[in-house]
Amino acid sequence: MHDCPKIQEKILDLVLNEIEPHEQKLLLDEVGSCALCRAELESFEQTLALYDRTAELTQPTTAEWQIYESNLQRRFAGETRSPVSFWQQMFFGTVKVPAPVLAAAALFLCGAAFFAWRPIKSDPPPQFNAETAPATTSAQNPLSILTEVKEPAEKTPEKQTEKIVVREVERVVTRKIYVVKKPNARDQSKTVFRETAAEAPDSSPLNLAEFKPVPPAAPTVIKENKP
Amino acid sequence: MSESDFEIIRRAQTGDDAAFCLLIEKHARRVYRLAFSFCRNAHDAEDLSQEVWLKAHKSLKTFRGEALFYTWLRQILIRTFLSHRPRAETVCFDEFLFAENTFAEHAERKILADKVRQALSELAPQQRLMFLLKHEEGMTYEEIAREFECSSGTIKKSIFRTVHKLRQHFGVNLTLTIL
Repeated sequence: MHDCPKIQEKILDLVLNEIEPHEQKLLLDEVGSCALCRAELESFEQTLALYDRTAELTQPTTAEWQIYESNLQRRFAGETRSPVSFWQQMFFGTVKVPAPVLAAAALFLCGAAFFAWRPIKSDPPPQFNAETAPATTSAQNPLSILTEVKEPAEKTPEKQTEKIVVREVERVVTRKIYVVKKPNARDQSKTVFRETAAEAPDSSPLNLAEFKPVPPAAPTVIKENKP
Repeated sequence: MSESDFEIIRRAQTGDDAAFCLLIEKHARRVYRLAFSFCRNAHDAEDLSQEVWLKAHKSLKTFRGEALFYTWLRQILIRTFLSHRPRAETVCFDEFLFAENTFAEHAERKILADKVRQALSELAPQQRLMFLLKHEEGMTYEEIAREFECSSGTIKKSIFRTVHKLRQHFGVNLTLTIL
């Protein structure tokens, strides 16, 4: 019994050679016996023949094939150059870097080179002149503890001067150190450092009982004259 | 695989580019034809076929010689085709219609080419590739199904739809012939 839908399902397989050789003859007999199935087969064959013809007509010419093949080989040769060694690549290889990144890196390097090689100005430390320097008070000078203290001339057998540069406020202050040598031999080597407040009257006698040690200001001593 | 093919591949695997160029010469046209049928654009086809060859060169060392070289190459080709994105929406099928043809021939080819382009452009890339692998490459349903990791029934249905669509676009009518 001829079953058109069932046969037509197999027609495309027949056209596309998906039917076993022993089945092909049986199927062709079936198709031949039915006009509709035969029409279906012919239409499929015609469709594929037209497709093949189109594909054939749109193929490149011999000259175009040659161009294509030479392009392919050229591109292939460009992509697969002989491998370079690691060191060759390190020193002579090129690295693709985006232009903005490259520009930023160049700017950074230029800036770093400028700051590294610019001449460093070393200003000499200002010399303190006790005669010309203005007198400072505690109100004017926040570092009043380090201000100049003048002691009576008769009590200053030796005078030492040292320069203290306080880096934090960029100010040079002078401290005068009076060394009082007592006639007592036991106390001869005793040195008293006094740094008094500015409000202390100049004429007041030196009261060592009120002596307080210097708070740890940790000043940098640049130069010191030792007795 | 013939001895000469095996020898060429062995040389290419050791880094002999001249040997690989011989492989290109041997199979380039077949790859290009399939690429052109798939994307319907000469520029895309050239890009695609070149990509296939570059991938083949990179993974040539994985070829163990258990199958034909072209069978191995076709697997790369299928993966490359399916991951390919066309460079433009506009497709141009008639770039190789020859200038020396007469106007009538040219017109006929253009019409046919347009019909094929229209029919194939309505298909999904996978569906298009299934049809090409069957009709142009002569692969069996099982082989295609293995590549696409689906059943052979799915492949069969897909190809039937493609041929049916082509038939519609070509305007092929069912002409009943009375015996």
